[in-house]
Amino acid sequence: MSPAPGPVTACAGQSMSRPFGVHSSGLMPDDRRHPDAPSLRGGDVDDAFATLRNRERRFALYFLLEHETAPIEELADVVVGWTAASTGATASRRRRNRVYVDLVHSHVPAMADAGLVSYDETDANVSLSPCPDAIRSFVRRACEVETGPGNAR
Amino acid sequence: MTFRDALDAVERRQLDLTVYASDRDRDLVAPFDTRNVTVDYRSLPADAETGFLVLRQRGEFVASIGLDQVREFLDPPIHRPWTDDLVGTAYRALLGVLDDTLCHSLDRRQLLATTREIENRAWRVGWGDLLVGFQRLSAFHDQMSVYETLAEETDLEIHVYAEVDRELSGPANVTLHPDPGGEIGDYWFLTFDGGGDELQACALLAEERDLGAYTGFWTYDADRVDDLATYVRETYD
Repeated sequence: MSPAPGPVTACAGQSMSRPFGVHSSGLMPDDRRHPDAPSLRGGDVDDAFATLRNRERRFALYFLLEHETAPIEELADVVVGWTAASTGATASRRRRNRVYVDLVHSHVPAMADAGLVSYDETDANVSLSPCPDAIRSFVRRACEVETGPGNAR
Repeated sequence: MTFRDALDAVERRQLDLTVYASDRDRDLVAPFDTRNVTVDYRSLPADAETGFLVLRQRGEFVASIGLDQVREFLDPPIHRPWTDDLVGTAYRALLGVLDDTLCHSLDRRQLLATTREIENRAWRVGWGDLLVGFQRLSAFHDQMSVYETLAEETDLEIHVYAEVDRELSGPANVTLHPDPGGEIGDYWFLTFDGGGDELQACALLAEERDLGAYTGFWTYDADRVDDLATYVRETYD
């Protein structure tokens, strides 16, 4: 049941800068920039969008934006509870267990591959990776749109 | 088994609630914070509009429910038991999540909403035993029109238990069991046996521990419903 060899920090490597013409400071209105945030590399944005087309992954990441690290068991509870609540529904144990299995086998490994999170097998914690500020900014903005006031239910 | 035993048995069930919400909703579920229910808070990002509640037992996920539904529970709409409005409301969802959990500081309005849910079930099934306790006979008289309709339009066998504070009278098809003054005056209860369908069995039991403030639970567990109904019939029929 190991989603990824951990800890994985695909984002935290050397910074192969590319002329994106966007300064991360311009994209980051808030002050929660990661001190070790690497700069954006080619393909990072493609990878992030491709990975985060899945709603359960996004909600997992939104929770990590708030807490940085969470046990994968709790992440499953949060993803199922939050996505159900946003459509006015309750979530059962069965549905939660399905989300848990998807997190373990699919979502967390995929997000680790995209450099968004790392997974520590020894304590079963998922942590936000120090990924580029631009990516973090996308995710934060998506969180506002998807979970904030007036979000589409 | 007495009413008190039934409350104690439910109280022994340990439940952990965690509120996941932005800061403004962190105290929403304080009424559930009791000796056997712990309430924790974990923050969601400040923008998050829709918080939720996760129920766990011994660390294992039991169920989750949106805080909008919890809000509706804390200030429930009251419907007549035969209206379709009652079916499928968020209120019903919360009852399904928090059943067999002892709640404190329930007020009459919350109990009335739960009562309506049980009466509505009995109404839809249309037959079976519905036992209803009123703390005072005059409280039953306030609900008389509801029970006249239930008695006339269904094949339910309705038994009403009440402490006598006025002259005895009631609808023809309702059996009245007057209590000279004792336990009945302290409890609000209903049991419905499901009319032969155990999945429809449900009950509510709440004790008025302070004036207007009740401690109690509801259940969809057919055995628990049967225990309560058996006790009531043994003791008061």
